Amino acid sequence: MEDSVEYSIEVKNLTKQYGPITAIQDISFSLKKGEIVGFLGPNGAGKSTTMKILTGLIPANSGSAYICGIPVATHPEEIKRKIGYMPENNPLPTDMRVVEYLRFRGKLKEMSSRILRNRIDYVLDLCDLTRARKRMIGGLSKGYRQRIGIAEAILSDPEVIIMDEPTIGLDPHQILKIRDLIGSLKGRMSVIISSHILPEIELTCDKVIIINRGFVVASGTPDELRKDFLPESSYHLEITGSSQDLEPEIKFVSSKLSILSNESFAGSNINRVTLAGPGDRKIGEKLIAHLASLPEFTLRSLYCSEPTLEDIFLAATKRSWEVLAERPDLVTEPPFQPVAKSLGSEDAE
Amino acid sequence: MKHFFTLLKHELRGILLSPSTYLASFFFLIVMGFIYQVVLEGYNKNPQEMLPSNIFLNAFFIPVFFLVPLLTMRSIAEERRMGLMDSLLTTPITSIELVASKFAAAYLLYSSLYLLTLAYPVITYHFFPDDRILDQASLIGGYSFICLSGLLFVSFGIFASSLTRSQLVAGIFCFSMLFGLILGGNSLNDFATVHLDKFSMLRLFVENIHVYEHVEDFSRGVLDTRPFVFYISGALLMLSMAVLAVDHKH
Repeated sequence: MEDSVEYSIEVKNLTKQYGPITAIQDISFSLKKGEIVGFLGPNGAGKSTTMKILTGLIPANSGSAYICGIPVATHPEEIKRKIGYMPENNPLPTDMRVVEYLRFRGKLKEMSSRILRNRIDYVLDLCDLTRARKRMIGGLSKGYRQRIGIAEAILSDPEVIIMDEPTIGLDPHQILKIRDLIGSLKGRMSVIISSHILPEIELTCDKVIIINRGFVVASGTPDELRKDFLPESSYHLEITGSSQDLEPEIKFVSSKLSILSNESFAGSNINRVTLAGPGDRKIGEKLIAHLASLPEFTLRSLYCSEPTLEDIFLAATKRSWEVLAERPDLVTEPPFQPVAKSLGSEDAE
Repeated sequence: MKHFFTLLKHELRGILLSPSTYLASFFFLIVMGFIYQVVLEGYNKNPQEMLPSNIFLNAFFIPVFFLVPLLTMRSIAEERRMGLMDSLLTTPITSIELVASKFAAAYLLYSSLYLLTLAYPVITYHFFPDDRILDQASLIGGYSFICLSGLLFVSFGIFASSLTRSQLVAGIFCFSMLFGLILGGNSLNDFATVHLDKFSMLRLFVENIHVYEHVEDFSRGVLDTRPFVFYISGALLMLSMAVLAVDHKH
């Protein structure tokens, strides 16, 4: 039990079926206190189902979920005092003013009037809603509504915040603000966010969990996932000289480097070359040093690009699809112990 | 039940601030006023056995069939359809508090609408001071019955609304239940089978759910405990089933 209290969220072998359809299967992960975790997955992967189970809205068929060491299934009332939840699509009553809505929700969350008054001012300010406090929710734009949802989730200063697609429908300015807002919660609250806006997740979250078709297919920090799924980086060169002579020189620097594409500009001998190689940054230095020493080439520019979270996400989900395509029986017949399990279960240990 | 009053206040606020409440009340009072006027006219033409308030209260069923479904069909079904139920149930409230607050708000509106119709005999008495128009026993008895039976009628609506996302289905289901209770109880009494000796228990049941007789008793000023037990326990049963439906759907 002591181990459980160390974690704000702990999920062990969670399975949920809707009739014959398995929404999530044998999912395990955990969040330490103050950690921010991004929960990624294609549509229908089981993200919202997992989040609903964590909030006590729906029961799981098997497995267990704990919020701050309290089992969700047997103590739903207690865990509701510890969480702030922003559901998918963020439904809000249209016939209330922003401040009235927050006051109502605060009362339901058992906040005293004095604390609630200060806290409402604080969250309105934090979510940049102060000017809209007296406006009817029905007349506000999507961006405002999303921020009301976030304000409501953090209103009672809960230990755990669960947000299902909080940045959907926001403009880039608002996304930046929300990112800073979520970042400011780091260390104070544990946050689990599902999102499709992957750069935001990469910048804000300590850890990423990728699920697909109900399985955890990858879990770890973005760097760990990069090593696991796409250990190679790309090097982009702009160079003058004969492209035929370039390949042996590249191989001379590192035998692991290979040319992915080579684009020549018509009427000049400038080439744009993309190389694939190990994510070791020293290779870049070696490339610059070696190519600069050769008189037949002039290196105009070189930069290294690491795979983004989007690339990792695509690679991880593709790999899980390949596993499932080879073994269709695994989808319907539990227990299933594929790649997914071996990757995802690390955290639950 | 510590969240009950917060939820009730929220519901009542929604009712009181919505223009549709006032519009609906206006039309309801027009219909009821029309019925009262017809009753008075009949009384004026031919001598009647019953007091005008008795006849008027006996006709209270007519708007019940429409009023109760319209008042209640939205309550839980709409919240569920909009997805508001999910976010509401992630706060530390219980489904009992939720259902009780929805019921209490609809019931208060229902009772207030009927109590407003007390204005008709009062206004009539003001212009034609005749004791038969403002007969206290029948008015107190009749309106007590409206408030008592309202517990069960409104709980039918809340139960129907808890079963579905569709307001239409909730409304029609509530209408069917009201129709079954109010008219069905009467029709059952006409079946010869019910009067056979071996069905004495069934006969007893049919006699006790006879809503027409209850209203006649009450509007004569006869307060029997059996209808109290029937309507209150029936309402509790319906609300308990609504609580189960809310829990089950989540």
